[in-house]
Amino acid sequence: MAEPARTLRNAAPALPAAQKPAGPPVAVPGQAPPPMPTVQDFGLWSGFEGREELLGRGLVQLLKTVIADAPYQHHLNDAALKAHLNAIQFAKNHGMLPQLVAHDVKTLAPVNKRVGQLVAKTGNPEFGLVGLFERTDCWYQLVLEWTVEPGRRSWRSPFHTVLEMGKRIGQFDLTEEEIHAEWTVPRIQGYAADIGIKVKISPWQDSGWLSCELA
Amino acid sequence: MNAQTATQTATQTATKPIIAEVPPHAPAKAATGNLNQYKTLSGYEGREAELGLSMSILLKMLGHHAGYAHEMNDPLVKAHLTAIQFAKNMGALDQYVAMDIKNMEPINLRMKQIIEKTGNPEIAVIALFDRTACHYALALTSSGDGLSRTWKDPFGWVLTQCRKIGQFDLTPQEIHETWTTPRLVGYGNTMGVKMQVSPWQEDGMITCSVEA
Repeated sequence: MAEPARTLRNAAPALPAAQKPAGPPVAVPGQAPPPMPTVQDFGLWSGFEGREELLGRGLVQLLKTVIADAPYQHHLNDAALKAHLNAIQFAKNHGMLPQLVAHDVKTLAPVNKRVGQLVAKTGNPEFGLVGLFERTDCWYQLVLEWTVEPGRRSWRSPFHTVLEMGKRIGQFDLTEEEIHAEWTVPRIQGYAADIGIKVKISPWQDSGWLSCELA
Repeated sequence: MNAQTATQTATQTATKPIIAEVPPHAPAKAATGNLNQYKTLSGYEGREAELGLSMSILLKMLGHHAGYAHEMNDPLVKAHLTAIQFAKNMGALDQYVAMDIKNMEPINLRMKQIIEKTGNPEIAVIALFDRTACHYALALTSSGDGLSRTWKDPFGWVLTQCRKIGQFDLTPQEIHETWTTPRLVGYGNTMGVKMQVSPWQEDGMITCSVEA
């Protein structure tokens, strides 16, 4: 189903500069007139032209998940949380949690080292935080409540509800604190090491609000 | 609770599987009152913030083309792939599948009760595919009716991209045969029905049916 973004199918190809329409741009007194748009730029586009099916399927999944309120209100991250909890519980049961973390860090090393090149080139460690958080769907689709400040990211642990529901029926014996200390923190530290930045991650807080900041 | 009672309870808990209780669903629009059936309702009243947040994530996901075009299930696919690859590397994939089936037992035993009560085996496929976010968030092409459901393997697209940078050595066929199929068959066993999963096909289409 997946496919790369296509060119806008209803749009005419951009005209060479010499052929651009010579309509009058909107003039603002005291300012140079804005550049003339291409024919394509002049249209209004959603950005999803050619990907309507992909958008529709994503929407259906979203609507089905958010409408599901039995036995608890499901959020968009429900399936991802359960997938992670299953893997963490399995590794814990077999005494392999440090190995799972190491495997995860190694799996992401190619991506993180590429982000590290950007950090090294710019000298700006903030690119590292953006790489860890804002750009990474594995983060922003899992953690729904989070804030961004320069040099610091804060988030609310996303596992609470699903963990409690799962514990009631004997699926998990993990705690959020345990997940934070033994899975979240070492993974972020491992990613940061590959990116080439130093970060400080808060210890577990009962409010569930945690943070990662440049050290 | 004295020590003897505690021991008895623990023993009972260990031997008797827990069955998930499902609370009654909210009444449908038409049943919530005479006036409500005349209202135009989206079904998302009171959930506007949740919906808005989710929409924002959806648009961000589909606007992400770095490396490859990301789909809505991208992080879920990667979470599964990471865990499956880990279990494979540790020689523990069978145990991982067994743990997953055991983990789903409380819910699937509840479905077994409903199947037995109604005599309708279609409940099994509705439970596994239509009602379960873990399936429909993963298999975005899931469709079908009656006793079978069909979907396109959700792993191939991401695997192709991630294998390029050495993240995984799994193949979609391997995942189908060693993870997807035994899990679905195992879930069916817990529900007291026989699930049949199609063998791997090159187009990636998978069909799962329940025997009537």
